[in-house]
Amino acid sequence: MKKRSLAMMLALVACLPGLVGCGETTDTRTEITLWSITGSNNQAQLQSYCDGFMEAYPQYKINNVIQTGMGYNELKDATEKGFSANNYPDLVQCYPDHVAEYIDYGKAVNLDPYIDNTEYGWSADDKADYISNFVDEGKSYASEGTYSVPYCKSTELMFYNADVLIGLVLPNINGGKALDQAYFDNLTWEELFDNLCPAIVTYNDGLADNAKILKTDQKYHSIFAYDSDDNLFITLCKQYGIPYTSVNTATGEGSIDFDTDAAKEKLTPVLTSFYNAAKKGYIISKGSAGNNYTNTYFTKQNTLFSVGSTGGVKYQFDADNPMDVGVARIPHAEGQNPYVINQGPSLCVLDHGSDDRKLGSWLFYKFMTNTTNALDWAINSGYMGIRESCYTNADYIAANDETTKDLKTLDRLMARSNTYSQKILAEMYTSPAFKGSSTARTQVSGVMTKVLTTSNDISKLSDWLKTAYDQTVLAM
Amino acid sequence: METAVKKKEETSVTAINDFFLERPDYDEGYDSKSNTVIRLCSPKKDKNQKAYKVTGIDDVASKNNWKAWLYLAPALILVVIFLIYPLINTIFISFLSDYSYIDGSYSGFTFDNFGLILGLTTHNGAYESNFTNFAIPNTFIIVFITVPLATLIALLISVGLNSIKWFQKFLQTVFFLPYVTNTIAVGMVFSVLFDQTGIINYIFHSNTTWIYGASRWTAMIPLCIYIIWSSLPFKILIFLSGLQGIDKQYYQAAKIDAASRTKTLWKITVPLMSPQILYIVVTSFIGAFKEYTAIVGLFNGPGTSNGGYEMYTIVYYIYDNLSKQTSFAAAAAVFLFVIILIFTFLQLGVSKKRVYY
Amino acid sequence: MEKIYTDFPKENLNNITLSINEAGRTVESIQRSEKIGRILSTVLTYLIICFLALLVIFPFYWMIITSLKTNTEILQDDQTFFPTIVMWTNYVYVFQSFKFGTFLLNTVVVAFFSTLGTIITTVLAAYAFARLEFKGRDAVFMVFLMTMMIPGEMMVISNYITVASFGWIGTNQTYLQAYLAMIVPFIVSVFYIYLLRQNFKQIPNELYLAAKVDGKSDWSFLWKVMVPLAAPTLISITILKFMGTWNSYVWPNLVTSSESYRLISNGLRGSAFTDSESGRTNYGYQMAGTVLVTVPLFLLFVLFRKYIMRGVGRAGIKG
Repeated sequence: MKKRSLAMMLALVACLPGLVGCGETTDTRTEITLWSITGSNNQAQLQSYCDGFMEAYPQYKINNVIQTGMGYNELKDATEKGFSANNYPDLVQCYPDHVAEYIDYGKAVNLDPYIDNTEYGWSADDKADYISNFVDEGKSYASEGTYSVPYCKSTELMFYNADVLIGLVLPNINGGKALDQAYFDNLTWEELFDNLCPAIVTYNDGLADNAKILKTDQKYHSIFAYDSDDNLFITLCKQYGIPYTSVNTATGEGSIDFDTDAAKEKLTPVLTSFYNAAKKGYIISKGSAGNNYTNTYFTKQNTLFSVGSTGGVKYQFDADNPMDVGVARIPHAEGQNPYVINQGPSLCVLDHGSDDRKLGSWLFYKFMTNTTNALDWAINSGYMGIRESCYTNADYIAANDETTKDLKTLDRLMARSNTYSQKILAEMYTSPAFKGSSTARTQVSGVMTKVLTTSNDISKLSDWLKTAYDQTVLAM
Repeated sequence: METAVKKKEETSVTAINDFFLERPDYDEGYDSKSNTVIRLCSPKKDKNQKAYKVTGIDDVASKNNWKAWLYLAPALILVVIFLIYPLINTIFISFLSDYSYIDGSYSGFTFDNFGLILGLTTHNGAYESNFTNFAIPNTFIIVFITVPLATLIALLISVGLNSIKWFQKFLQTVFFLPYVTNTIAVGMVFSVLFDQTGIINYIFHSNTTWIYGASRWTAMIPLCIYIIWSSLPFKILIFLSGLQGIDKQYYQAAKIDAASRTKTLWKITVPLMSPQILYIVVTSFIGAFKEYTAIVGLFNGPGTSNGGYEMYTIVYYIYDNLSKQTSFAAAAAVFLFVIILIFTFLQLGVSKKRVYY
Repeated sequence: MEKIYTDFPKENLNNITLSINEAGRTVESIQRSEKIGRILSTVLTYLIICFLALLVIFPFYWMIITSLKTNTEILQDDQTFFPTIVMWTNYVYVFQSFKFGTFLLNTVVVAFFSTLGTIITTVLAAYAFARLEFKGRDAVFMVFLMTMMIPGEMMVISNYITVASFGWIGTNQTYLQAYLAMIVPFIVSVFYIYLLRQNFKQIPNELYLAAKVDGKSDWSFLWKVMVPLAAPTLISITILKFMGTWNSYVWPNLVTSSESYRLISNGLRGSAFTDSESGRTNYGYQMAGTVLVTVPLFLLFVLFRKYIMRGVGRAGIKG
């Protein structure tokens, strides 16, 4: 047995050099490596951009690495571990919090010199065409400059059960008229909790058991559901003008502001109203609904409103229970401007000390997001268009024309959602990203869950904020 | 045992024959009383012409076998590079403040990392209370509940499996199942089983919240059950192998003495399996102190609800802070290391009297 | 009054039962009550074992039916014992999504060499610790044990930098480098060295001394006597190590720069079935993936089970 296994071992070892030997050609092109977690339905598109770029710029070679089996945090981990071993890419798909860390390690490249360059930067037309809110996200770091550029953008929308709600007449709501799109477009939190929800409850109570508009057969049910606890907290802060976090670009230090007295003074009444609303069964979030995605309740008519990402529209529709799903902006603060969060990963260029590679990475990004490709991406990828021209393009409009799609189908909902999202481009905001901002986000998510969990005591809000603050600064 | 006789010469046939005349029931073999080995070295089998060799033990096993280092070399080299070096590195990092693993930079030497995790000092003005409030107690609870229970259950199952005749192979295979798969995937299954509307509540006609939203002590129960469940296969495997090696003679002797099954178990089986039991106890303690994947699998987070830290353990803390605050993670790792070391020493000390090889 | 029975049948000589007479008891009645006791305890043992076996199997049953459900059915509040629609397509999807062939080949190569390396180093080291005497033996063993007391996560960074300094990680990684990076750091396992050492220590002194007197060297004693006697443990270690490589996922993902070097657990664990935009996991696919990765391991165990469970008597000792 020893002899046999020894022979087998030798045979295998002899094979290995053979595997090593293949694929060695002399390639003088500059190699640009891209790491991304592109889903399978978008991989072909991405590859086509790579191929197109290599044709247009034959001096570069794109190494398109799709990191399957990883989430964004794992991708960041792999990139950072790679810093210590020179095993990191030139372009990486990332979230702002990740970029903040890359800046901290001195690896993120400031793209301002490339953007402003007369020869290969953005022309004046380009600068006007790229949606400013998206580009601004790349500037919201602890250092001055543009460190990330838009790639896969999404935002949040309020989806509502149009079958039930459109045309519904409720006393003292909408001036006595039937509910319509315009009403939902202008909905505020106060109107929602103080007027609309009580009216719906009263109406629903008056209906016969098998004709109720709001079902209660699932474990969790309410009128309004907001999937992401962290987005809710941060968006409320933005909408009500409450300090959340800020960054000092001169010192590069971030600051956690939601625990200050000024913030708490404004935060307490707002969160208390949410707590009361939750107690009356008006609102649930993923955290307060047993960590279940709330759209599962929306599609089963156990909630009438569901706030979710535009990248996750398909979850707001269930083919087994087709509904006409309406789309509107999320509620805003009374008397204030509407704001909605800017989401989705961007691209960041990492420094290898080679100007050639940095230039190549920039040129590749520019190619990937030129008018043709950006349009292609906007139509087919499920992400938002990052150039204004996408939205006015005839093909885009045709692809997203809901009237060409059947009623009560997912296609119709997606078309509706894509068309609507351009209305709110100007209302998107970003929070600054710095070392500790991702922890802040996780912590306030916990606070929001506690606020909406009815078995808790809202008078402890101060304690919850303090704990969240402590845990955040421990990570800074 | 007495020290050996130091004779190593071929003695004459007559002297040897005298030796055997005095011991009529003796032939060849090891004589523990004189600690010598008697070997037939003559080819002739005729008793009157046999030549015997008497050898002492000391010559047989030298006390300082430098060749042993050659045997140890392959393992030792790899252990030093991939296990000891990181260990020393971790200890070193735990005394550095603001260590960054990307470039190896740090801002100074300090004891504050330990101060922070033990709740004595602050960082940026905040106390790390989750480590002392949750991580340390939870880890100890997990260790002292799951290890003794799992070891006992595994022992009883192994003995039971060893004694049955039908379906023995099938059942032995079944009990190995939990080892084959991934903790986190099965953890998800467990969290469904223990859900408020899940099977467990259905069977016991109760409405308890076991996982999401549960209190820390209620949630400990499914956690411990899960940990015991997933640690059984390995223990059973080792115990079964150990049981197979016990000579049947012992059991036959016990039967003749009309010993009850319990007595057989405790007086014969357990002592003869003591090397395996020691191994399982030592390694299970170490493994339980490092428990972390079970929490993630069952709760998907360090607490029973979004934002909570009720089910934190020491290694979970380390994992959380590995990239963010490497110094803190290293301090926690060293803290854990010292605890495990103390307990292991205790166990090995006790084992000297109780373990029979 | 004491009475000793000697009229028992000759066939039962192996089961000699001496009994003290109490009023009304005969050998037959005592034998019968013992038989009933034996049957009862066997039945009880079977019941308990079968019950526990059910407890063990149930989560697997659940895993399999989850892998055959649609995602909505998995997430709904009322849990079903059997899928309403059996989604074999989950398996088809998972199978098609991954380069099974490449991953399988990589895993087999890595697992084979890892296990080979582990067996060799473990046997040699366990022998040194169990049988050979040398200065500092206990101290070195204690140091080995100490390396088990640090969580693996802390080792990852140091080992990553070490492996990088050997030049095995980088953007132009070759197959050999990738394999080396995945195999070498994990060849030695103190866990298994300790296990084998315990086993070796149970092999009696007499055998060793007898061999020594016969003039055999330590080396031949190790391979000709100890290894065959410890074969069940060695086979256990082989299987456990193989399974470990099969299930390993974090380290291979970290040290390989291209997907074509990765192992079978890549993509079938972790975030493979998580929709990157919304962060949702399709549990049906994930369970199907887990089942697909688990089944070969399980079959392997079933195959080798008899080698592990084979009874090995302590034969070879005379007198």
